[in-house]
Amino acid sequence: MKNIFYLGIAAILLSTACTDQETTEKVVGLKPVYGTIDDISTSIKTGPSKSLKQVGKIYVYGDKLLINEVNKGVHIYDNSDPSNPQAINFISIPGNVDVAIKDNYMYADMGVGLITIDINDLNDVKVTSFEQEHINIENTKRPPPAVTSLIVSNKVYFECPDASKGLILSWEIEEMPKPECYINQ
Amino acid sequence: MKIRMKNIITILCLVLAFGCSEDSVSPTSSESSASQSSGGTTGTGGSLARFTIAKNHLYVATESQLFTYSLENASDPQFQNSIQLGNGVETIFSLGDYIYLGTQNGMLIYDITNASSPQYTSAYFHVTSCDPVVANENYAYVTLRDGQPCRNGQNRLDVIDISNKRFPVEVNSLQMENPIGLGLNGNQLYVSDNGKIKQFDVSNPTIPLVIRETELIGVFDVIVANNKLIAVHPNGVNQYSIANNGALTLLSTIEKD
Repeated sequence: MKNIFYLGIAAILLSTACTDQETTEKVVGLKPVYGTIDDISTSIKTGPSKSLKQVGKIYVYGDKLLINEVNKGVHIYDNSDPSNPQAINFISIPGNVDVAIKDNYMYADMGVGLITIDINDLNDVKVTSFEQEHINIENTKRPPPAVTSLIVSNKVYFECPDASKGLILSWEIEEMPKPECYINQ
Repeated sequence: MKIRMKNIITILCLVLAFGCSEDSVSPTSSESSASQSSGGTTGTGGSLARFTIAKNHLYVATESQLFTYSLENASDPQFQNSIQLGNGVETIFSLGDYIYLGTQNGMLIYDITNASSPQYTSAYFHVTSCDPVVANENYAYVTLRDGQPCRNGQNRLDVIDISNKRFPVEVNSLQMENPIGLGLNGNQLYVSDNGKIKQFDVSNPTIPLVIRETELIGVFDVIVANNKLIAVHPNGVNQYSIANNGALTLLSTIEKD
């Protein structure tokens, strides 16, 4: 009986300690933004040209020059005269870092999957396919490196993904109670 | 030497000799700015790319895997398979029947003769790699870089004989400052290195000779095609024309806000 009593005390002490830690210690970490495939399709859209902010990778397709805006999408330039490239527009692709194009179909990563976009009409791009069944496996468990690299720390905390909440559309940087999940980078 | 360099974090950059030049005769070139082949019209990425299109297939290098998609219907890529590569995969480059992957354990070569099913061919493990891989029929130019996320290392440009894809052999290694992406225009090799675009003459492929340098703060990758060089840096994108002697003349700058 005495043992059970002590166990009970110990349990209370332990739980108190844990609660205290969780409520008091806050960190800047990454939080998944959940949604559906429809949300993904509607997030892909053409907008007016924007100025470059965080310059990513580049891709040349015919007389077009594409410049990635890290994790946001691609700037499209008419580069038929390389001494005077003209901004055409900006295609929003959340989480995007890489693209490749074949026959006016653009393949782009979104961190959460591989999207195919019909760019025949640059003013009205359309999502024709979205693949995440295979490629998404790594990133349903953790934020992709392109996102974790935005946090200047060897230890990157993130809210543990919960598949029951939907697809992960993107990751936000937020102050949060210290979560269980983290990555050493 | 091989053991000592094992822990060096590297950038592998293999540049295909014919891939980038306008007078390319490579029938499988994926490097011209809008190559038209049996596989349709595709574009050109830089040496830091994780996507490459070859032989009517899209190859995607994620952190640890290679994914293969058929582009038979370009609007709807069909998953073929995925291959575990180990951790720290950074870049992918294709030429002809091979794809080259830069990983933290070395450069991997896969045979895509059967495009929907890449087959492991060989690995160049004597260095630990970090970033780009671009390749050439016979020679690979490999940059090794120190610093984040590449931990402790050297800064070098290695030349690797890959004429036998099953047995890559290092044939030279040059001291560099902090090299990242690179590209090739005929016998001119351009390497982004610590705020400069360095031009090397590789007429003798095993002995790259520095010819001149063009200052560009933070330059991290280049695309070379049709006697033009496009350089990307934290403040924007510069475009240059390439003279016969390889000298760069600035054509334009797209500046960030």
